[in-house]
Amino acid sequence: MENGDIMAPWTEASIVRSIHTARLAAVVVAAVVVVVLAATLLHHRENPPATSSTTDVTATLSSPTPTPTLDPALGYAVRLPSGFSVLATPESQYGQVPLLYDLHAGAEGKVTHDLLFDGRGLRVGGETWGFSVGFDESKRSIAVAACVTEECGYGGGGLDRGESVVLLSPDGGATWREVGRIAGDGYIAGVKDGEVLVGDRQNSASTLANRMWRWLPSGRPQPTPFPDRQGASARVIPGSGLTWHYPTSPYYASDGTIVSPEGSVPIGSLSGVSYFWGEGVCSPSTQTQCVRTHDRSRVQVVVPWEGPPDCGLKQ
Amino acid sequence: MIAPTLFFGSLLTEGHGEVAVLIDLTAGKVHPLQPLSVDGYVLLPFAVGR
Repeated sequence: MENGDIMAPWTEASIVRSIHTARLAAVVVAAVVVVVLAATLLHHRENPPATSSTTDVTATLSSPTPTPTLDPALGYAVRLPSGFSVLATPESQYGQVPLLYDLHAGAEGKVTHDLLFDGRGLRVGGETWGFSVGFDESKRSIAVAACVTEECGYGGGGLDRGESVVLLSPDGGATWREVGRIAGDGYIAGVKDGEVLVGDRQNSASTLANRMWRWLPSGRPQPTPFPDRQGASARVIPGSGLTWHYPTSPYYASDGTIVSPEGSVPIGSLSGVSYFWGEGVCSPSTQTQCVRTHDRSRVQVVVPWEGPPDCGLKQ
Repeated sequence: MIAPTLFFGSLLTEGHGEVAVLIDLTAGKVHPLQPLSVDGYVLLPFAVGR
């Protein structure tokens, strides 16, 4: 091939032919594009693109899965988280049934349970149950008080002839031994250092003045912070120790110092910090319930209750 | 998701008795614990831990 053929000047006729050829090519290309687009649109209408389905599925999977509620009356609830366990007793219309379960939430939230104590055979007749439970900070020392008479805790006429046996397990419920007996309306206030603090009575008169506290199995009496004041109730709170409460009063330590002010309830401690339920005192301007810390001089709101006013329970 | 700083408490509510709650201190949320039942009994939880 010669260079002159390649570099030959364009004639008018060749330019016109070229323009016609270009126009024809453009028309053909446009027609092809239109056909392809139409076919694509028709195909997509009949067969939605796979990418859209994938997006929809991903969105569904990534959104929080609603937790089904076992009791339709209770909303705003969470499952027992995986890796956690809970000690629990059954409730019935006749009081707490003397059964103690240890429930474990495994992987994927599956909950299994172990029966740690069954005191149903201890009661002699009757309909009502009497049962209370206490435990120490490690939850290895567990105490139960189970009714062993026909009726417990419901003695009419200001008298209670019922009786409960107190058993203590040092090994998380594997073994139990009796450490004493208390009145039928007595209860376990807590477990500490291998002993059980019980609320008991000095005689059969079921009055506030007759109430007394003692440690089992030693029988050592536990004085109240204000001996002249009636209506005290004791509670050992893991991490917070022994606390005392009177009707419409703060919670006191045994030496009479205030653990938490009136209107708040100690619930325990975590990493050395004690926490309390409070109402009103958390936020003086509103009746807000919250969890808070308290070091006798400073009150700090840490977790305000943000649920519905009825605490998630629907009427 | 419940954070490791989980706390167990009970909330005394007017007309509803005691409600077991899980308190997530990290997230600052309070959750009523979903009711637990065994053998037809509704359970009253009183201690939660790992």
